[in-house]
Amino acid sequence: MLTRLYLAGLAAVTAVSGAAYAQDAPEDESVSASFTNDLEVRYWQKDQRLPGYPDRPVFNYVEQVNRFTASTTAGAWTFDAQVDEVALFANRYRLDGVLIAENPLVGQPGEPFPILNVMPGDSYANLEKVRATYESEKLSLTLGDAYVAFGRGMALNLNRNVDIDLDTSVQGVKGVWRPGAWDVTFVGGQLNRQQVFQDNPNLDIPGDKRHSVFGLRGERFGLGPANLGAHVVSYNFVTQFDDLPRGVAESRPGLAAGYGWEAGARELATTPDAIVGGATAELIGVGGIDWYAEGDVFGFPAGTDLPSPLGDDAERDLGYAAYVSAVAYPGKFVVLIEGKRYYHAERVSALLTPELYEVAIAPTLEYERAVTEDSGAALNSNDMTGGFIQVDWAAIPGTFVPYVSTAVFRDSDVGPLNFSDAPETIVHPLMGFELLNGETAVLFNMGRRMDIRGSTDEIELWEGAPDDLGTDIQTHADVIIQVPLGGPYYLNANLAAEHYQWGVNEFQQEDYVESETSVTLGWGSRVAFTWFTDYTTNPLVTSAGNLFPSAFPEFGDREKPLYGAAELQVKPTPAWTIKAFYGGYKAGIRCSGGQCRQLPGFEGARMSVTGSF
Amino acid sequence: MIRSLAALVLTGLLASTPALAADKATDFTLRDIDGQSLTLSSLEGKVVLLSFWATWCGPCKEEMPHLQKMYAAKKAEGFEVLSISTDDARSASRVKPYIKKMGYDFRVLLDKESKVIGTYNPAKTLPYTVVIDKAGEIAHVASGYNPGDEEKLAELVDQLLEGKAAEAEAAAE
Repeated sequence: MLTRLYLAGLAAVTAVSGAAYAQDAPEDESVSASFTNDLEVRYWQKDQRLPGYPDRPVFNYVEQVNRFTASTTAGAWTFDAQVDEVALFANRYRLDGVLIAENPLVGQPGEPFPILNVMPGDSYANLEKVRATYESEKLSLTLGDAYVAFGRGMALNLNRNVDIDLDTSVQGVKGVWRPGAWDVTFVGGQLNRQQVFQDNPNLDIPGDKRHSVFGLRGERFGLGPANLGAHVVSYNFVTQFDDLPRGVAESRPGLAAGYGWEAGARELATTPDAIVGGATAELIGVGGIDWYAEGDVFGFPAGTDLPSPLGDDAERDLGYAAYVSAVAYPGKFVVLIEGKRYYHAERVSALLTPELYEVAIAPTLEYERAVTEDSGAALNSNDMTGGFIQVDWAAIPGTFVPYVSTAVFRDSDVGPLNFSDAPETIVHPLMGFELLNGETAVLFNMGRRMDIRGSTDEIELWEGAPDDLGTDIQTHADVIIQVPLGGPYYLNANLAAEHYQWGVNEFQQEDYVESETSVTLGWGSRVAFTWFTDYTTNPLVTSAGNLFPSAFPEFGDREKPLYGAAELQVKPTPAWTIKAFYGGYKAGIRCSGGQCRQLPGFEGARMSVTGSF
Repeated sequence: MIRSLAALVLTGLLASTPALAADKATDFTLRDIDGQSLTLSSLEGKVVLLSFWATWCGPCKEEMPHLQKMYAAKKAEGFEVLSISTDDARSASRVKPYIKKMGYDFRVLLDKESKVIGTYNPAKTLPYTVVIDKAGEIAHVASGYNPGDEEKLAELVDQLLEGKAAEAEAAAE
């Protein structure tokens, strides 16, 4: 019954939105509206059974996710809204007469969801983003959800990272005033993290902890070749959980756990947890070089409210971050040099680890596609000095460009994220090329990353540890190939492989080999068929291979290493895409935009319909 | 159960109303890779192609030489390409070197705060293309890039440059 009501409601919403669209633009040409809808239905197939019930796959279930966005423009104003919705089906069963629901959708009882949570049972909907924006040449003003970044993002960087399915905005006010050569940006509000994942399972949706942020930045452009800027940012994180009046905590558990607007607002009366001040300087074309430099200082006036990843001794330390880059264009060459120093600055995001995002993210200088569970720690290091150089050679301008690069880091952070107990020197040389010739494209990259363990003289190691902890060595390569096959047909292959050899660590991880491949046969822009194959012998990967499991007897009880999947994509119009997928892929870490996320594996079927109208 | 799922999928498909060509393109102001400011509405009277991309996006890189070729051939007729990098603030130093080494000369804007892409492309696909006609109205949107897309795009731009909206709509399909 509920399912039917739910479907009827969803259909009604869609119908109403369609009708509204049909009535608008012709009446008044200054008003227009557009919509997008992204519907995905996933069947999660799990190789699990209840003891005593080997024939009943009760852990299998269906997840349906929908994202609907509407945008209306009226003169200089634009109004945007995003409604996310998720529902689970077939996730309940009766055991000895008791109804049991697997995979709870909502994590916190009570009222963690600030605006809208009207769906019954195993379904959830939220007005996730909403904003009104005024845009003119001199002024941009946003009321509602806005994204913001200052400088290179070391002091403040909140954006939408579609690559790893994270989206955190500031819900409040943002203004950018542009009087002549100035940009003056103000932002103030509470953080609003996307609750519904489009690519990953939705379980225990937590609601928002409404951390507060206020920032001001001024930037002067065109001072000769220079652009100069300065900024300050203040953070108040939700840290008070248990001091509500008696009775309130019990009746409003969501609030008691620190969720919701009120919990965030209460923090504003307290000392800011972090204050960051910084300055930027950009010089364009000075001496034939584009220069950029930024420095930020991090203060933590609330002391222990914000835990220090570097330990109690560093509670009162100031943090700092510095970044420089220089780009030169001699002849057919492009030379990019970057450097950074980062100390005690990751602390500003220390409370946000369970919420999966960071508020300030430094340039990593790394090739993030090759980052592993181990090297991910270097991306989030609290004590790091590093440099990067890349030289590109436009051998055939616009067609064939080979390059070489090297990153070198000194990572002195031996916090819990690291597999190593000793400081490391990291060296990561890479080489590759880009060949873009007509409809043929080859993008190739290979490298070798070495984490060389330093001295362990003053470090307490585990019993039996050797003095020399050796070197982790990762060898990796990836290539994207696209070739026309005649007529409207084409082939696209995306191949990546790596070998990982561990040094010495307390848990002595096993060396492993991994690969991810996809091969697509396409017919124009309308139809594409893709075959995916993953392979991994990495015991840290928690998913199970679905392809030929009996072909790997040497793996014993361990998860089998080979995964396969197929996807058919059809585009009935340029603005609409329909995809059907069946099979499995492996779990693993994925790093993008300076952030890393452990993504679960998948086995089952999924179908998605995405489009604009 | 199966009927429920079928109804859901059908609901999504029913929403696939064909794009109407009457949407006014939302105005925006962004800085380019040299720090110069550009407001979209200042290009009214030209046919403008917005191409959203990122330095980590392979298909985006495959599409860019075709955009460059189209831009070089048609810019004298009033055609503009605005290549909008969606790389976040951390990667801003790597955008201009990429453009320079490939020899592209269309204008490249930095959308470091996801401001414009959030309005034009709430879905997650890159590359994402929006073509705006001389009156500032959206004539075409497309997600992803596959070989051959560039030919239809060139045909559409030609029609819009000649002011043939109906033919342009047909070319887009």
